[in-house]
Amino acid sequence: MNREARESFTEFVAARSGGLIRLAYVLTNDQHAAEDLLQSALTKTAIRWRNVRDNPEAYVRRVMYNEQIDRWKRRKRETALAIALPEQVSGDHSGEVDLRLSLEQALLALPPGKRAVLVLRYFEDLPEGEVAQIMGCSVGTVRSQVHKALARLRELAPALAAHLEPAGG
Amino acid sequence: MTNDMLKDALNDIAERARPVDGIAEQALRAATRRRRFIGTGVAVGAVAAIAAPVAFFTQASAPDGDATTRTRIVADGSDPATGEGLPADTTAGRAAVKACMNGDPAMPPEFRDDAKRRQGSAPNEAGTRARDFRLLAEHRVPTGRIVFLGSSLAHRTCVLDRSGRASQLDRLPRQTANRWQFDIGYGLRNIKGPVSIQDAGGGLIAYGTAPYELHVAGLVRPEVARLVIRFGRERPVTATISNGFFVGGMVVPFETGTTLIEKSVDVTAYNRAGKVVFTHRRPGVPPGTSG
Repeated sequence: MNREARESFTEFVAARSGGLIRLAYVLTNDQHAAEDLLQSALTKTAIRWRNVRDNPEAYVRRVMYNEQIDRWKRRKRETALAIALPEQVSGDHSGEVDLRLSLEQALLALPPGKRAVLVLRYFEDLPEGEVAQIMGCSVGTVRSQVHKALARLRELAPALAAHLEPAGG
Repeated sequence: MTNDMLKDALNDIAERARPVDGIAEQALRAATRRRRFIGTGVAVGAVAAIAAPVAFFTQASAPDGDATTRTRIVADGSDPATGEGLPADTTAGRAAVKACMNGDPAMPPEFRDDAKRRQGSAPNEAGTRARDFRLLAEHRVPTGRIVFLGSSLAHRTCVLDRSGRASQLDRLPRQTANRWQFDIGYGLRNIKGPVSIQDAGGGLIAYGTAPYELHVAGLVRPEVARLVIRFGRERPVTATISNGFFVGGMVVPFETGTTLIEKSVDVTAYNRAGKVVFTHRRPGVPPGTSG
């Protein structure tokens, strides 16, 4: 990588690392893991900088999703064992706050693959077609994954059942 | 309702992220050092699948196909720090590890989790420390050797010069080690097919326009007698097989390396009768695409 490329890469990271670490965090739910995920994605981006510099952010995001989903696949068995959510979340009397906390905890308890598809749809607000592209699957699979993820959320936090509609658009 | 609730909740989670400093520099260092990881440890194109564990006796063949020696893997549980399926420690192995490991290797998060899960203890335990690494295989190149090092949890490659000194970028502190990758039920002594590619890639061996190193490393079953690697259209390289591990590679000028890293890599394994038992091709990466 020549000097000019290094500078443009550094500028890109300086400008976008705030948003990217947020995305990494919401995917991993751990600051350290988020930093590792982002650094790994940025390393790949630096290696391919010549080819991706026109739209590096899209590339970084895609690498992060793919890596996170790969990690999830490798660790599927462990993750399945790790899901254990308390029945009641807080002592707060405000129903809305309780609901919000329930939802957050349920989201964090989702396997990373399911969380990733929800992040793509609801955090990134991407249309199903783009989600399918990133995940390397069909639109139908995306729909079914979203549906399953929402169903799992309802299982994890029964109080949310009435509020979580089936996936639509 | 669903959309808004989910959006808000995900945003709240994202807000917990703390800003990171110096990540661009770290990424640039890592990119300069290494490693375009192009193999993920999956045994591809296996000709025969044997479900039962395999005793790891194998013929170690030199790159030019001459002298062979019969070697044996350390038995199960013989040394918890050594780990199952690793070769016994040797003076030459210790020297290679010492030359390449500047501190304990950096471990991705899943490593730490694994270490905790397996040992129920702090992360810096067996398999994660520099001293747990063994010399698994080494491949001679004109400038020295490419060595394949591994512990029970992780592995990495390193380039040594003729005097046994690690390359400038291999001597950097806390190099990242790659986690062994296996399907569930498989492991160091029981790979899924004849060949399990664990690491394939390359990178600069020093800052600036230094020579480039390219390598493929992994594990083979005993039936594999010869393994040939071809980077792009370069001259094929016969990997060194040792104790069920292999490494093969080349050191090329900077300009050649930056081109070859984008090219296809072919790995072909033969049995003693010269029959192909495994083939794998990592396709090249067309310019302008992401990968």
